[in-house]
Order: sequence, then C-alpha cells, then structure tokens
Amino acid sequence: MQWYRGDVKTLIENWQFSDNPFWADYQVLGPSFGALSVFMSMTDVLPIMIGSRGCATHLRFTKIAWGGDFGLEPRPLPFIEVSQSQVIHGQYAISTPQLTTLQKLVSRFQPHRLVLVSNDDVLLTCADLTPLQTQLEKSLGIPTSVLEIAPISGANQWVGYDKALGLLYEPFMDDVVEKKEGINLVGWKWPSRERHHDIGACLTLLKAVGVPVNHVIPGGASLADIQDSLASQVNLLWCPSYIGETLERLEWEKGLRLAGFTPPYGFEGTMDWLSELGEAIGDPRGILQRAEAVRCNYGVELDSLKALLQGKRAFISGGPGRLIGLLHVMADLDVDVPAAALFWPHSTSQQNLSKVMQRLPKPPRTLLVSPSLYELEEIASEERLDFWMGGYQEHHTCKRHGIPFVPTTVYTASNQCFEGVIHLGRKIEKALNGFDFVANVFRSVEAPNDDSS
Amino acid sequence: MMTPLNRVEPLLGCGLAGILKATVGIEDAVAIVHGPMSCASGHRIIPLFAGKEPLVPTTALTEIDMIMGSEGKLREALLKAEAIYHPSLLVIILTCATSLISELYDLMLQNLQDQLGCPVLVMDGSGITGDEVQGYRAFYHVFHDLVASRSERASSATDVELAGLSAADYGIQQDLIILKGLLETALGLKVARVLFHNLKLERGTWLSYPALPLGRLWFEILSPCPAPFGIAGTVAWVENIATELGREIHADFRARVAQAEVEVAAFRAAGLSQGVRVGIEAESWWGLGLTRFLAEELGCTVFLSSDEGAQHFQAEYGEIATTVVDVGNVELVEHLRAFGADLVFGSSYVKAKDWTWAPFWQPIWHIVEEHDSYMGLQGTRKIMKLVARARERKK
Repeated sequence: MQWYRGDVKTLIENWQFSDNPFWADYQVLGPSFGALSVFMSMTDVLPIMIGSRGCATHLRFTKIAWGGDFGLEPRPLPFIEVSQSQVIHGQYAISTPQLTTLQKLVSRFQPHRLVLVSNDDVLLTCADLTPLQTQLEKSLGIPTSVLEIAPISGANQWVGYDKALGLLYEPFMDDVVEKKEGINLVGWKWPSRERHHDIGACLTLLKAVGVPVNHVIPGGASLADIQDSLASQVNLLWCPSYIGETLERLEWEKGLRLAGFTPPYGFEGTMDWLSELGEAIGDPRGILQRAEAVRCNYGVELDSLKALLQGKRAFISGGPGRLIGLLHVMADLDVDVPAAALFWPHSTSQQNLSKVMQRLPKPPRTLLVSPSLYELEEIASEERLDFWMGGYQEHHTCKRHGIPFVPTTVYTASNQCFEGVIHLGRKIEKALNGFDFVANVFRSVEAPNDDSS
Repeated sequence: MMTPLNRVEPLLGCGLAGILKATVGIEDAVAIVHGPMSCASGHRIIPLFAGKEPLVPTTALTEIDMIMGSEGKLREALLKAEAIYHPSLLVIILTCATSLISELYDLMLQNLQDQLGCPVLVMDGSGITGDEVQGYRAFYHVFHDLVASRSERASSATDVELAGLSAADYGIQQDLIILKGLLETALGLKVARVLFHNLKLERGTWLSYPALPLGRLWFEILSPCPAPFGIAGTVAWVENIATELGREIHADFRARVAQAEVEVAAFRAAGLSQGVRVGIEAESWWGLGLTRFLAEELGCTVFLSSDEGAQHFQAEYGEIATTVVDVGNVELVEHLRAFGADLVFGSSYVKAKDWTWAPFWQPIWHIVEEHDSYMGLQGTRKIMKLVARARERKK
C-alpha cells in the first residue's frame, strides 16, 4: 500500500510513498469488490466466487446492504466452495447438486454471461479453472469467463474495476463499429437514475448542455449496452480513478476518447469537466456557453452559502475523485482546509491535487494518503476544526471530539455538478447548526423541495 | 429432513469473521488481519454490528509479499499496534493467502514477546479451512488455554460465566438482560462475565467461574439445550443449568411459568397460530430454540436455515422443522417462497414483501429499532403477537 503523511507540496513534487503495515483503514475496499461492483451493477452478468465463503458473504453485504437505496435490486452472489485439500490438489469443480441450484438461479435471473471470480488460492496455486469454466458453459449454456483478480491483486479496488471492465469489452474488441453521435458516462456508480443520485444529476446536466448520452457504463447496463457503447464518441468519466489499461485501450483501439480527468464537483471543477468533454467532442465553446447558463441559476445561493462558510476550518477526505471534487467545492465556498486525506492514490491524483491546490485559499498543512483511524484521531486533536467532511465511518472520531460531521459517501442528494455545491453547502450549514447526519442517515435534508435546473 | 449440500449462497462467513466476532468483545484486544486489505475491509461490519468504530487493522499484503515474505511487515505491525493501543492481547488472523503460504512466525514472536509485553495469538481465519462458527470456537479454546495458566477459582458460589456470544450479535444487549434475569430469578445465579462481550482482559489474575456454554458453544456439552425461547424452551434451559450446577429452581419462577403456560394455551386454543408458516434464519442455538417454540408449542410449520448444530441436534433428538444448512441470501429467499412463509425471522437479506419480517439475525442494515428480546417468558408474548399479525395478514 502507499502511505504518506506530510505537507502537500512535498508530496506533489516527489510523489513518493512509504508502507504502513498497520493500516487501520475504514474506507478502502479491495480488488474483488471493484470487480463485483462492475458485474453486480450490470443487468445480465452473474459473477460466481470461487474458493472462500468469506469473500462471498462480506462482498454481497457491501453491495446489497447499501445498494438497495441506490437502485440495486437484491441479487444472488453464488460461490463454489473448495476445501484446503481441494486447493492443494487443484480440484476446482462444482458438484451436481450445486449445479442444480445454480441452474435455478440462472433460470430466474437470466444472465447472458457468467464470470468466475478467483480467490487468493487460485492465484497462489496457479490453478487452472478451464475445466470448471467448460463444465459451467456446457451445463448452463451460458458463456463463462474467468477473472483472475483476487484480494492479493491490490491494496485498493482499482485493478478490479479495470480488469472487470476489460473482461466485459474483450468479446467485442474485434467488432467493426460505425461511430454515432453521443457519449458514454463511465465509471462505477449505483445504478439509480433518480435525479437526486449521482447518475441522475450528471445526466440532467449533460442534457442541459446538449450532450446526448448513449449509455451509462456499467451501472444498470447490459452486455448489449457494452457492445453498442463502442459506437459512441467519448467515454466521459465522473471519477478519474477508473482510468486504466481498459479505458486507454478503448481510446487507442476503438476511438473512444477519454474525458473527465477532473471530476464534476464544484463550480470550477464542473466547468473543467465539461470543458474536457467539449474538447473531446469538438464543441468546446458551445458546451461551456450552455453550462454557464446553468451555473448562473445557482449563483445567488452560492454567494449566500459562501458568506456563511467563508473562513471556516474543515477536514476533508475522499477517494481519488471525491477528494479532488470536494476540495473544488471548498474552494468555491472559500473554506480553509488545514488537513485532508486521500483514501488511496491513483495515477491521476498527483496532477489533480496540484491543480486544485492552486484554487484553495491556502494549501492543507497535512495531507494523509491511505489514512488510519488513529491518524484521524490525531488530526482531530491537533486542528481546531469547525466541521469535518468525509467517509461515513469518520463519524466516530468526530463524535469523540465534538466536531460537526458531514458524511459524503452516504447522501440523499448528489454532491456532484453545480447543484451538488448547493446541496453540500446546505448540508454543512445543517451540521453547523447541530443536525446529526448519523442519526438521520437517509433522511433528506440537503435538498428540500429541490427543483432547480 | 435435510437437504444435501447443494447450496451456492452460504449463510456463514469464514473463520476470520468468527474470530473477529469474539475479539470485538474484548475491549483491550487488538486483532490484526495478516493478509490482503480485502479481508480486513470486508469485515469492518463486525465492529459496526457491535456498535464500535470499525477498527480492523491489516498488514495489507499483496502478491509481492507472498513471494518475498511477510514476516517483516507483521513484526512492524505488532510493534505499531502496541505503541498506539497498548493492548492486553494481540491476535494475528491469517487469511486464505497467508494460511496457504504457511510462513513460520514462532521465532519472530518469541523474540518480540518482551517488547510487546502482552500475549500474541495466531489464528487461522481462512475460509478454506473453516466457517465463522468454527473460527469462533477455535479462538475460544485458544483463549481459554491462554487464561488457564493464570487462573484462580473465584470464591463466590453463585457467580457464573456465559460463553459463546458476541458483542456483534443482533439484539445482544436485550438478550443479555433476559438471560441474566432468568439465571438470577430462577436459580439465584449472577453473571460475572460474558465471553465475549464488554470483556476487559487486563494483565494479572484471571478469575475462573463455572462456564455456561451457549451461543456458538452450545453443542460442546453433553446435553445441549437451545436458547430459551417459549415456555417449554425456557424451562428446559433453566432445568439444564440447574442440573449442570446442582441448583434448585425457585418456586417464583415455577409460578410465572404456570401463568405463561395459560396464555400460550389460550392463544393456541383461539387458533391464532393455526396454519402459520414461519421461516427462520439463524445460527443453531438461537434458530433451534425459536423453532421449538413455534413448532412444538404454537403448532406452526417451520423452515430453518442454520449451521450444522441444527442438523446434529435433530438427528439425535428428533426432527422439528425442515432444515437447510448454511443457506443464505437470494437462495434462501427462494426456499422461503417455495415453503410459503407467512412470517420470517432473520437478517435483512430475507426481508421481503411476501411475508411479515422480524429482524433476528445479522446482518441487519439500516436503522432498525432494537426491540426487546424474544427470549424468556416475556419474549413469548412478542413472538405470539407477530404470529397473530402474520396470520391476520394471511387471511
């Protein structure tokens, strides 16, 4: 893992990390989570875990427990159990009774592709899953692939997102595609298209600036969408952390230009996001003009929130997209950020941090990368903070130190795009006035009667 | 009665989950997941279920560590854990990856012992070697051996220890109120300690009390008795302990039982449970206890998904309900639909519009108001209300 604690300038200049073998993380998830996020948000892909029951039970919890509020229906996550002895002898097979059960699930959920997701034992023993793959294909009549990503493949979810997306596109990479107007909105998100959720907020803004969206990948998409998405002009990301081999290959080989290195948060950040999109589709001025008109709708409220929050001291944390985005919002609101934390670094993080730091009134004195709970405790003790904005589990630290807490990973109105600045500003205002977002986790307070834009 | 091992969606997690369910109840213990970060992050829910901060530190190993060795990282992790948290116990939990590569840590741990100043246990939490019930039990026995060396028998004749529970169990606070109340009012016993719930290990003498194995340890005694649900179940549980410890049952308790029996008889005579089909998802001590009340005292038809203990108990003492072992999530929901459940006790996975759902087993997500316990004589009324409501809905 990559750990850093120090000043921002040194990190941006050197981009060097240490290791922390006592990582008391509270937010990052692993490669298998990344892969399952992609597969389980698709409508016709059924992942099947191979090996340890633990992976199946804790990953299904993480997906299903939270997904229900964001448009993800309950779904199965089957697993094929192997014993230690079977692992040692490389005997990866499914029993006939288990196959019968799987057949029932398949006939109910109608997947068009099965994906065998490896566990660490498969990678460590270099086990050959081809016989199992063939057995499933023959018995169930559904194309089956093997994803050789396991928990030990990485210290965060990135490689899982990348390889899962690659596996879905692979069968179509030789297709000859005729390009058509429109873009794809890419990067894992819960599938909900509701206006107050992230996908809905972005789709609304893109519609307002006149950009047709052909597909949202992968949240709520099907394999047919994956195939057809190759005809689009641009892959627009809402979080740069999905950028990897797969999206780069789609750009080089299939002409799907990549845009969205700056995530769509904050007034300036969202304008940068749209500017990148304008460049990619060859309409830089038109999009920005229309975006400016949308932005103007929120100007008055931004000014009033800014008057309230200017000069407040905040701790901000987030992943490679969200942290950059939230820092853009803090710059819009003129909030002072003495300390911040990046959950895990991505190859785009150095450039994005450098850019957003120039917008802040002053750069944070302390930046944590791959933070631990005990480090949050130190930050809370050392800094005189007016509020704290970050991952849901950070509320424990805030509670101990009496710091108003604004969760950003659980929300009832999207923090993205122009409107997200207002939602977030209202949320901060509420927290400063004593509202407890932990006790009222899914109660909508940031966007009452919101019908703007 | 039993279905063959045909499930593809398990109810139980891996050994790691069981070990964490135990250690999370020891206030001054720190457990370190020695393996990939996924194994730690996925189990942050366990301290959260216990109402605690999700502290599950990890050495966050990746492929390169499997090749180059991980002893150095583990050593550093232990020293840092001691420097930050000053624990009374450190628990290293191996995952599938570190279990398979079988690195030896004995010498390193021996050399570190003085610096750490606290015992270090190494537990295999790998899912390919066992499930969470087995993981919990394995930890309990190692822990028991650890404290045995510094144990001194407590002088009180009425103090007992409850063993086999977890601070992460759903409704543990309310269940403990009932269990402690039952032991006190029926047998004059006082619960001095619960393994593992709000336990402070500290350093020094460990007082030993007569242990009452329940929860995940209930099947480890000669005459196992499921959890005290319903009238007969509560009486059986109390009588079992009375026999085990040679105690008399108080007359007051008998009188309250007689009163409760009248209520249950009247409920059944009114036909309020007639034709009600109940699904239950829970580990065997809890699941079988509830099953017995519903099936044997209220006359409901029950479908149970549980661990192997449920299978063994019914094989020995007779079938009570259609039982599947270790089936969860959508697969279990499908079973419950086919069974035609009217009322289901279980986790949030089995919450569905098809039936009345009662939160009973982890994971329960979202904020669900913690209800009073279903255990004991008081709990009987709550269960009967739910059964009556389910029957009403069915009509």
